Amino acid sequence: MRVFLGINRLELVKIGILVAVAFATAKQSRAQFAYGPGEFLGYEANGIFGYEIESSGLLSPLSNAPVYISQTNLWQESALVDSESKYLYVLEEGSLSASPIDLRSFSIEKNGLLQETAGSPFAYTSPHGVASYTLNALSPNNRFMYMIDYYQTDNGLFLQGDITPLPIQGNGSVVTAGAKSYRLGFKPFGWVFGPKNNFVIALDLQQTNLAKLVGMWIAADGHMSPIQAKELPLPKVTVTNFLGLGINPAGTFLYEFCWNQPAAIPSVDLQRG
Amino acid sequence: MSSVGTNPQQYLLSIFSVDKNGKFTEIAGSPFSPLPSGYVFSTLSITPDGRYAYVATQQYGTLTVYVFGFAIGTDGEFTPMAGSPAEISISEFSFVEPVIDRTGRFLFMSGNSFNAPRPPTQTVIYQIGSDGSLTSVSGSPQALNIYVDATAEK
Repeated sequence: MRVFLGINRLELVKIGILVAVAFATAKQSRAQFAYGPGEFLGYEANGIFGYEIESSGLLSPLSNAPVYISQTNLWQESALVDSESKYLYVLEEGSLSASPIDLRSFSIEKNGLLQETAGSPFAYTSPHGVASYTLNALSPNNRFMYMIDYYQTDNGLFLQGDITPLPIQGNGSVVTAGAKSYRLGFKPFGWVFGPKNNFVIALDLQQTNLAKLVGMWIAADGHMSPIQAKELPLPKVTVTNFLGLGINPAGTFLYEFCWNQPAAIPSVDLQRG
Repeated sequence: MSSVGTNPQQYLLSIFSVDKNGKFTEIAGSPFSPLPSGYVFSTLSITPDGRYAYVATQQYGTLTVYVFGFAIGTDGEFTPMAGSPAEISISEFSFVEPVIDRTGRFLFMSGNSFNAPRPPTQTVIYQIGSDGSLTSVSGSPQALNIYVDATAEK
């Protein structure tokens, strides 16, 4: 075609180049941001801090950070951002005996600033009132916030864990009313989601210091059910301490790491506070 | 690869391939010992493109922190990266899991010195090269108020 809407081939090529350059420039110029809970008045008041990641990698504070200042004796657990960078979620625990627990949700603006979602915080009550430990995980499709409640004995052994899927609405709000919890049937220690949101893989921690891998299917309503006959025994070692699980972004490889030397290990503080 | 259960300081990495039906198959040679003896396997962070992995670790008995880099093969196996590990210059650095930004260009690792007054926290920042190598960013570590937990791209 020599002419298209009055434009010749050369001009079309020029336009194409300009569009490509503009697209590439726009892609390169997408802003990057970093978030996390922080302390600025000691241990008694905390906030969610946001920074822009400069092209050099250094972090520049956003103008409205911290966006939320917690009350005395509250603190924020880790921050989660959905896969589309639309919302940030924070699990806020007043203490291990807190009930209910507040889930805070923030929309992430174009400039990285955080705006708390209408209705936030969303109150979550553990199915047994108080759990020894609670953490949250966001499903890869951003549709569910999973609340995972662990129950621990005095000697540190894990009892059964419960899970509660909380639907996330399109505006980033978390639906806690009418939430249904159920018993996982194993003692979860760590877990990872498949990137297509169809399965989760967990470590079932046994009281004998041995563990096994457990697979769970995820249904459209967020409910999990065991993958039958897919459990594998982990490597046999004299004494095993499991450190964690990882999965590659494509979901094709699962990584489990552990150590077999329980004593005289320098303290590695992976907890806050 | 080392055998299992004989070295009291041995840290092990088991690798399973996962098919679309959720079937796990442990790959040949697993479990591996990706770290030299005396290094504590603490965390695992993988770049968004799945090509590189980083393990934050402390050297046994010294509390000196290092970041080991690995290239991830098509079979999922880790291959140590040339020039690895990168040493964290902060003494007795008590860290949380490193976070990689969504472009895979930077690795952030926040923490405190064990005996330092809190806050601020220190955030160590590395640029991730196209070959996965880590280069400390000028101005790193930054004294900030946060533990970098999550990143976003807008």
